[in-house]
Amino acid sequence: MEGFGLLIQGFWNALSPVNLLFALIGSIAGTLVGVLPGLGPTAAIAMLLPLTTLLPPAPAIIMMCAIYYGAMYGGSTTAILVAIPGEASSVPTAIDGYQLTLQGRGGPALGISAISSFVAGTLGVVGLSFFAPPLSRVALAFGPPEYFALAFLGLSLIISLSGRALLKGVLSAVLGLLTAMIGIDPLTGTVRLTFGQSLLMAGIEFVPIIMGLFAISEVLLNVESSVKGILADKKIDWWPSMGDLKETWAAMLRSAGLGFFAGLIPGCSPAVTSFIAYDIEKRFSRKPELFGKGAMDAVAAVEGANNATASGGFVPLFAFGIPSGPALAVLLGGFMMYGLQPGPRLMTEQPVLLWTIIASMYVGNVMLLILNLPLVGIWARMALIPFPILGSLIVVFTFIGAYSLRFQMLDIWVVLLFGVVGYLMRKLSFPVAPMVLAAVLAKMLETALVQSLLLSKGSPLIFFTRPISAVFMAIAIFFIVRGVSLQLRMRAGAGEIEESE
Amino acid sequence: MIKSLRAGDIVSGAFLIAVGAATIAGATRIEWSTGGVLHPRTLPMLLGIALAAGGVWLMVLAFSKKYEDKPLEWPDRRGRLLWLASLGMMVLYGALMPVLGFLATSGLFVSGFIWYFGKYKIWFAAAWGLGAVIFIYALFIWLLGMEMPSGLLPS
Repeated sequence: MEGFGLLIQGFWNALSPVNLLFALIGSIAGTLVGVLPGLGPTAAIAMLLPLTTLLPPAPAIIMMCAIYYGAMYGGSTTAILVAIPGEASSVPTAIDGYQLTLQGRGGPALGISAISSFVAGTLGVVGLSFFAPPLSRVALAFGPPEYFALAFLGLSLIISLSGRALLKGVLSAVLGLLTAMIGIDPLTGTVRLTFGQSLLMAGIEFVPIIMGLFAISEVLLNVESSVKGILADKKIDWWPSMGDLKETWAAMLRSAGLGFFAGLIPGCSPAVTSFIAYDIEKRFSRKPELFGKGAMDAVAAVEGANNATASGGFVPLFAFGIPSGPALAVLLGGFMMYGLQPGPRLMTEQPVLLWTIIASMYVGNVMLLILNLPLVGIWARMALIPFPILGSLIVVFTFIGAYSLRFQMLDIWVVLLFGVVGYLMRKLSFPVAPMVLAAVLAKMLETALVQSLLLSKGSPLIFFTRPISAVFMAIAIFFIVRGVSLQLRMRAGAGEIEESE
Repeated sequence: MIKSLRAGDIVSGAFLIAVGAATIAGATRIEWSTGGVLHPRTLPMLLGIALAAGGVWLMVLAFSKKYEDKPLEWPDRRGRLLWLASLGMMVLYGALMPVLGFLATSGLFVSGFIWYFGKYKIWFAAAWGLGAVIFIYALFIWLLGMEMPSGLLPS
């Protein structure tokens, strides 16, 4: 009951004019940095850290939190409209969302994305409010073997992301893993696969790879066929219909649950959960054949999952002071600038502040829905811009996004190289998503593998002797065996049909 | 030009074998710098072997009788020229950026792209280029304080 009383008090404080104003500023700034490719919430929160010298703790931290979850709302916009996933978590959104835009359904996709973000974000905050202390223990149960098993489970999704081209999907993933190995090995400091090129020592980041594979290859494909506009001669829907909502509500709820629980695990980024949510939704969907060709429930699931993961990530931060990712690490810095140390002591020493921040997240999610829904029609009209104009702007914003990551020209060349690679992969029927997934997971996979083997003195049995990692490994092996057997049966079936013909 | 998916898979397989071989060669040069249980070359080596083996398998499948072949859709001659022109413009954009600076090259790229591919009047394309420069300057440089390449020209 004490917690409920504190939550009510938190709402009272969160609804004060000053806190409302800074929640609104944070929501708008978060949406903006989400829309702009490459400029993520980490940079935005870092830029606003100096404000902590001017503001009291509550409005400043409320604003930074709003930027973090607001960026998740905005991240889908360019992925759906112009196939630029600014973050890895938006890649599955780009796959189906852009196909929906090409069908004249970009507006409904944006609307469903905003509604799903709201539903999952709010459910995530409910989880944060009521289950934070007991669930936070889950975070402490995660060591290197569990992280390796989680990354391995993520990699097992390659089977379903590959569709019928399993071998090509696996090869695409191997290439993705390989690109992540270029540069200095973070564990030993050894230089790998640079072939004497000092430029490559910094390594290859996965964001420019994603931007090249999706955005630049899309420009090249449109240019070669002299496309006048991506929506030429199409009937256009601006808003989601009741049918769209009926089709996607279950996906929103499922992905909210999955995303929240995954968010509890430090290091489990929204990128990982968005791919898992995409795969799970494909299994639950009434129309799995539409996945990859424009499935509305895919967009709902992915956007719900990454927003719920963002909310879930606050649990280990508030309960133990463990940030789940770079943006929350910067936010932790914001707390520390006020002399506050998130963790059990914050819960006992500053309960009013903590519950004010949590209550502000409910308010912020409502604000974001109100802000984003009216923008749907405006954003969707972007797809009506003639392609020569839109295409040039896509290239410029992709370059800005890639360059702003590390301020290195290398990232721009990586974008261009993977633009051509993505173009050729699409022409030669190589699935692109497995490469992205592998590039995203590679560092976590290798680091956790090496650390686990150090713990076990070289024995791989460690992945099967600890309960959580054993469950993840078992699920991953089940996915792999089931996926491969389905492929073999499909081929055998096709062979029988051919013979009977 | 590779006309069928079968030919595409054979070429892709050969390419992957070459990349796999290069990876294996590169991995053999990785030195063991500190103690540990897993050599830093182990994973790149395994991936190189997997890539080369996968490339061989892809070629074997492409040569098999059960292979479901289909024609590949490549652009016609005009499409190929447009494709090359757009890629050339992007490469030039990246190459000139450290010399002319981000703003000037972005303006030139947007104007050139719109003028060439949209067949618009030059003033219309230039206006879009100028608008893009003003927007990028206002949002990314002035408001967000991002450091973009300023070029060798005196500011």
